[in-house]
Amino acid sequence: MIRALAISAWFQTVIFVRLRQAMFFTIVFPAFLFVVFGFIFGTPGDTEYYLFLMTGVAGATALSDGLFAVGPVVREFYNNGFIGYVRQMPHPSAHVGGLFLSRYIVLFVVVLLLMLISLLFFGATPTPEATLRLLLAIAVGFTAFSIIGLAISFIGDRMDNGKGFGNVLYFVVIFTSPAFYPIDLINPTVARFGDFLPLTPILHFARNEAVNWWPLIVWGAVSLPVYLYSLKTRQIKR
Amino acid sequence: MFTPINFLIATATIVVLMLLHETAHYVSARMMNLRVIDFGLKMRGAVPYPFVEVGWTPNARKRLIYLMAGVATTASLFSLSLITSASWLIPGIYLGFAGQLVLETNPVFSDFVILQGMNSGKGKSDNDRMFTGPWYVHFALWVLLIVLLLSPRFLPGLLFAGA
Amino acid sequence: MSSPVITLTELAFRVEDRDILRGVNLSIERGETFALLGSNGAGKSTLLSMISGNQRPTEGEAIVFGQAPKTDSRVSILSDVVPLFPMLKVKEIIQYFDAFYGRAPNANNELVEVLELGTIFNKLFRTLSKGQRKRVGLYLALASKPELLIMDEPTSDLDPLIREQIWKRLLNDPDMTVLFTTHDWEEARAYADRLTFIHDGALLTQPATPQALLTSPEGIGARKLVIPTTAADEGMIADLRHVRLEDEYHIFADGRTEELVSRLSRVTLNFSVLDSTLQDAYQYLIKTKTA
Repeated sequence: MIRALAISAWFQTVIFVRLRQAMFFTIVFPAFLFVVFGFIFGTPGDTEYYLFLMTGVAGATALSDGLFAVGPVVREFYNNGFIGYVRQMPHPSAHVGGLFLSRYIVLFVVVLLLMLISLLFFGATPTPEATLRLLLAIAVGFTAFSIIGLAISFIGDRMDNGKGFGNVLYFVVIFTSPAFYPIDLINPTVARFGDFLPLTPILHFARNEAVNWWPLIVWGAVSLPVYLYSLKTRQIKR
Repeated sequence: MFTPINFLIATATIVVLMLLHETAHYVSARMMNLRVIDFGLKMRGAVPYPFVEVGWTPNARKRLIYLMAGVATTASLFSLSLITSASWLIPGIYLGFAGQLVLETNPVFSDFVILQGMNSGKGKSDNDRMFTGPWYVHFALWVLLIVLLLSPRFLPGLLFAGA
Repeated sequence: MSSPVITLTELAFRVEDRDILRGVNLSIERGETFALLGSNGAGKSTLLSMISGNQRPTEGEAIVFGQAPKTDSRVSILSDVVPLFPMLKVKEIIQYFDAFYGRAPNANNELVEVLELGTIFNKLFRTLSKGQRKRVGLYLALASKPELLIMDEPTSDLDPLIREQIWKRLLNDPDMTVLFTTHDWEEARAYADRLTFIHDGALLTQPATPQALLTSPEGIGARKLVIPTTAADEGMIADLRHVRLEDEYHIFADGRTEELVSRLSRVTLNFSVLDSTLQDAYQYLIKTKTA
């Protein structure tokens, strides 16, 4: 089982590296955002801002990967017959497990890359504790966002608009959360709305601020049964 | 630099620069006797933008001049604005020039992308060319341009001390 | 004799108000090569997916190796379309599944040779043709040395030489039970120990050897006469076993070829005498059973 999981994660990572578009949006685009925002809005020496921005970019990446990189892939596993094909084989769950594992690895690489940029361009380094917090926040966030993404993908499969809804959710969450700017100071009303969306608690946790976990728990608690129910009742496509 | 009034001036500057950009395409096409099929305003989503459309020419030099006329005009005007001090006396104008230059050189839908498309031969779509080595070079240079034009550590820092 | 590998009892499958399978009874013995033949939409693939455990019957039961079908390392399944990772190379896909089966990461040389995989080892799966994908699927299905191999159209899209090699060198293991469907009925005639026909969700006949299906008392005989419909009217041949296929009558001679030839030559010389095929037997059974 461990070998199957490791091999699956390894080859899922190989597949990811071969998908030029996925590489861009998961690795290069976050680095681009960090560099551009850091240079334009940052002041040399203002370590607090650079670390704020780094956690925001990492959180946004976990959100987009969770919403768009897991749900659609798993749905495709079902629709193209892959799940049916591997169900007779040993360790069928390791295929999806490997997919998750490879995404954690990729996201950790993204965080390391952001830390490197932060050090090289802005001279800002998070403490080991802050780094650990960020990695943990990304892992928890990605897991929760993936469950939401799975629910959206499988419902969307029936209604043919899962992608549209995912996109709207993504942008609403990004713009109402304190990912790239202190939304609390700019527009407290929008910030209160963003507090109900799943990214905000992840960012607060990563930044060692007071966290209200409830919105995230509610989102997960609603999405998981929706996903499992859609899975159970989905029609076999022929 | 990033104040509401400056953003307003920048937006007005960008509108003027877009019109001049397309005018440069139009004038260059007429000077080289290229057939102008259409010009005017189009909508991209809810945003109107000016455009010029010319007939295909097999002459690579004419294609280059026609396609680069727009960005060359913007760049020249930008230089002029720096020399005549318009840019550094009114940060909004500078911001407009910077925004327009960033738009005109972007690696997704700018004139440079069209130029690469024409020079990379048949059978390749824009999607095929995206995320390849040469595309990443373009992307990296573009990021560099953004930083140089908009980061207070570089050009704006020199022009607007204390901005 | 040991118990059958597969036993289906009064198996039925209904989706909404439509019967996909009806009252299927079938048993397949260890080591048999068994073909399931029928036209498109007859229920072949659904029947295979019941036996594979991918779908459950709405009535009756399927028993495989003495229990309801479930994940079992003794069973390999090759579906019509092989859904593997488009962005992995063939050799990587093989490594991937070797790890899942806990096999040593060494390619099985005989399989590689017969399936001619050497030339496509370094190709991405998405760039392969349908036939090449099938060959990779066959490799994976056979590499686990299954006791039961279930295959939906295993050799479609393969060229005849490879197909023959596959049957003679890879699928001839006397301990392996093979259940397959095919569009090429001559292939079933050549390689199946027994076969049966399925039409409209029900079996048309008891399983039998290809030869017996043609020559049994219920069968159509080894030879047939084919006449264009323009050269004879159906009343003339109403007493003879026959079917109409598009614009031809196929008349089954049933051991009386000479007699029929002389009878028909009084009316027309526009006919030919041919060997009967499984397709003929299928069409004739449909006609008699659904009449």
